[in-house]
Amino acid sequence: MHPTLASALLANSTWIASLNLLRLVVFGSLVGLAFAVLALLVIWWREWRSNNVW
Amino acid sequence: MTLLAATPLLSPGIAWALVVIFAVLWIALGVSWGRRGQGDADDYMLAGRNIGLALSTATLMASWVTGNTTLLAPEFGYRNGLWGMFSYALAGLGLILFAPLAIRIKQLMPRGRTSGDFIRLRYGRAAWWVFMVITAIYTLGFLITQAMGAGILLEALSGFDYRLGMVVVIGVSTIYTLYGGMRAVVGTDFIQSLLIMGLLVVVAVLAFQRFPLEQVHSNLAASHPDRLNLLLPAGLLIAWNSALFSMGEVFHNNIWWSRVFSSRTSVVFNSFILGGLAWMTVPVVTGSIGLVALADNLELPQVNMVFPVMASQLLGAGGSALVFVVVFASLTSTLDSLLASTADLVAEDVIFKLLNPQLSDAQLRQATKLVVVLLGLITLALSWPRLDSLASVLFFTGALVASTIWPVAYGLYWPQANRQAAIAAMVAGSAAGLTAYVQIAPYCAALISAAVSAVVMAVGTSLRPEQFQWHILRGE
Repeated sequence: MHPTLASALLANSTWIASLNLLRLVVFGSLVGLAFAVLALLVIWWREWRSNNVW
Repeated sequence: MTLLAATPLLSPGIAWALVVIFAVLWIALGVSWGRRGQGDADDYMLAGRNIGLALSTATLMASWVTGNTTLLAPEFGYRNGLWGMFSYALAGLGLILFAPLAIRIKQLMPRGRTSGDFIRLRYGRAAWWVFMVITAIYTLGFLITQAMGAGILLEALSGFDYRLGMVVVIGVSTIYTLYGGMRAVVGTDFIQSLLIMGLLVVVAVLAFQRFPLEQVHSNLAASHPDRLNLLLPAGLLIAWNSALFSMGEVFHNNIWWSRVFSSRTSVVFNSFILGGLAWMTVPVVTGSIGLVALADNLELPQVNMVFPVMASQLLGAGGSALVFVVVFASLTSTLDSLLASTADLVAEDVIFKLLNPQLSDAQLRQATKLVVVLLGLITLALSWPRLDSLASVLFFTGALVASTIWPVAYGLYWPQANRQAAIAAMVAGSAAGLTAYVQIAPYCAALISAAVSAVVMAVGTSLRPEQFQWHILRGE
C-alpha cells in the first residue's frame, strides 16, 4: 500500500476505546503496580529470612 | 522546560520537614549499609556482586522511575491520551529486552565492572572512545536534567528557591553515595521504589474514588474523543521510537551494566523482567491522572505540572505532600544511580585502565569516591544557570544511544561482529538519527539511528567477519 494512502486512511480512522477497555488498561495497571509492591515485599521477606538479601 | 506553578502547592514548612526527614533517613541508611561487606573496590562499586532478587528488581525500578516518569507521563496522557501513556510505558521494554543480554554478560564477564570494559575488550580502544563520547554526552545530559528538574520541581511544589532545591537533592544523593557506594544506592533504592509505587497507588485510588473512571470516559468521549482514539497514525511511530530510545539507554549505560555485575547470577534475568514489567505500570497510572485532569477541565498554569496540581485539587494538602515525597524519591533514586555508576565507569575505565593501571585496590576505591564528589560538583555547576530548554537537548541523545543497541547486542552473541563495523555503526547511526531529528521529527531520531546502525553492523560484519575469542572477556 502506498504510504501516503496508508496515512490518509489511518488519519481518518477512529477507534474510540470503550469504557471497559479503559478500565482494563487503567485498573489493570493499578492492580499491577499494587501487586509489584506486594511481590517486592514478599521476595525481600523470603530472602531476608534465608539471609540472601545482599 | 518551565515547570512553575502559579503558587506553591505545599507550605514551605511541611516541605522542609519532609526534606529533612528523608535526607536524614537516606544518609543514615546509606552510611550504615556502606559499612557492610569487605571494604574493597568491588564492594564499593558493585555492592559485593551478590544482591538478591528484591534489591536487584527494586533498584532497576527506582533508577528507571525518574522525575520525568512522574511528571512527563501525566503530561503525555493529558496531551496525547491513551497513545501518550502507551508510548511512555513502552520505555519499559528497554529493561525487559536487556534481560537475556544481562545473563549473557554475567556468563561472559564474571569479573567485569563496567560497560566500558566490555566495549574496550570486545571492539578495541578506538570503538571505546566513540562509545565513551556517546555515554558522556548522554550521562551529562541526564545528570543535568535531573538536577535542574529537582530545582524547578521543588520550587513549584513548595516555593523553594531553584538553586536551594537543586543543592539539597544533589547534596543528599552525593553524600550517601559517597559514604555507602553501591550498597547505599541499592539499599535506598529499595525503600524509594516501595515509596514511589505505594504512594502512586494511594494517589490513584483516591483520585478515582473522587472522579470515577466512568465519568472520565464519558467526558473525554464528549469533549476530547481524540484522546481515546487508538488509531492515531503517529502513535505507533512515537511508541516504537520511545521503545528504541529506552533500549539504547539501557543497553549502553553503565547504570544498568553495574546492576548486572552487582546482582547474583541466579536473579539477574528475573530482576530485569520483573523490574521492566512493574515499571511499565507507572506511566499508565500517572498518565491516567492526566486524563482525569483533562476530563475535569482543570486549569493548569503549566501542563507539565498536571500530576501535582491534580493530586492537590483532588486530595488537598495531603495529596501535595504525597506527590512531593514521590518526586523527591524519584529524583534521589535516579541521581544516586547516575552518580555511582558513572563514577565506576570513570574510575575503572579512565583512571585505572587508561591512565594508571598500577592503581591498588584501595586507591581505586578512593578514586571512585573522588569521582562521585567531582560529578556532584560538576552537575551543580552545570545546572546552576537555569537552562529551560535542556530537556529538548536530552532528546537529541536518543539518536546517539540508539546507535549503540546493535554493536552491544551483536558483540555479546556473535563472535563474527567486527570492530570497524561497530565503530561505523555507532557513528553512522548517530549521524543519521541526528539528521532525522532535525529534518523530519524528534520522534524519528531513535528509530532511524537504530535502523542505520543495524544495517551497518550487519553489512560490515558479513564483509569482514571477525573470530573473537570469548575468553578475552572472562579475564576482566
